[in-house]
Amino acid sequence: MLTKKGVSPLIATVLLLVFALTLGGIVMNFTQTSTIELRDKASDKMERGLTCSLDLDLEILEIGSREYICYNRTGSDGFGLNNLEVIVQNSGSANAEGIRVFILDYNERPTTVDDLTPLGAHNRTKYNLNITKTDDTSNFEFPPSKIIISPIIKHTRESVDICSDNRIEIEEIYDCDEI
Amino acid sequence: MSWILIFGMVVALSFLLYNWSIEQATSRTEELSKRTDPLTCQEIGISVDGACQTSTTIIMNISNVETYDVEGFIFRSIGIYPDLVDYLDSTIIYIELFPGETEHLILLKKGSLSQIELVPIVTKNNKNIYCEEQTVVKEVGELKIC
Repeated sequence: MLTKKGVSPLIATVLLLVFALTLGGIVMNFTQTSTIELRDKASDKMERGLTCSLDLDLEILEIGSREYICYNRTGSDGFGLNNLEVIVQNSGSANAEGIRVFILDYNERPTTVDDLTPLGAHNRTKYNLNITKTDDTSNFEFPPSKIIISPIIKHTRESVDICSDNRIEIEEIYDCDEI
Repeated sequence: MSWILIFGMVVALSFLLYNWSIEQATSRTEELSKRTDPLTCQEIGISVDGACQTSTTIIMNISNVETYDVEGFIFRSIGIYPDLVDYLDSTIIYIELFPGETEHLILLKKGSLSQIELVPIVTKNNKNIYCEEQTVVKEVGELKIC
């Protein structure tokens, strides 16, 4: 009845064993790669979080018990620039590639300006930001009612990475002539 | 027999997992303590006395008033005129100052200064720690002409 010959039990066992090992190897390799990728991603996020929370410590420089942040206008007859002068001190051990300044004008209209002058670790940088031209159509009005300064930790053409948990908020901004 | 095998496998797996989690926790803790060391900075204290300036130098006496060796300072200065290029300046000075010791320091500067800051630097486990919270600030009123 049974005329066809099958593989011997020994060969069948070896085949099964090889099959199981190959499959195990493929699965292990796949999971290892994805686990390493996941671990690296988590590690990068953690590194970024630690840099933001521990390694960057920003404040406005105080000179004679007054913070050095002020606004001024250049030019006359409505033709010129609305500028913001600020000295930012970084007491942390990480470098920032620049700062992002978010400004609400007198009528609470928002503007955002990036300045990529580096802010080194344990160092200070003076920023002189041109916010708007006084004759443009944005109707931006000084004095600003609120300013938020955040450090830029990485800036590329495609994206800007900002540490928003390390930002400085200022609501009292004076004219530079008053400082 | 199968019970023994399963039991052995469970024990081996738990051992591996335990070792891995301990390793992870240790490396993170070490990293965190490397990044911040507030306890060391609490043992640091400097005092700056007799500060005065000439047209080219600033002179002061710096004392280590606490119990930990100071390896150097970050010397930051602010000029009088904000539009000048050297309005803000910062240099690192390495002078070892033992507890109770005082050093008479003469530093070169450009123009008149309106403020100086000295941030003590200490070394722990071959790493420099900048104690920003122990910074000494001298304003224009304390920087008289020598």
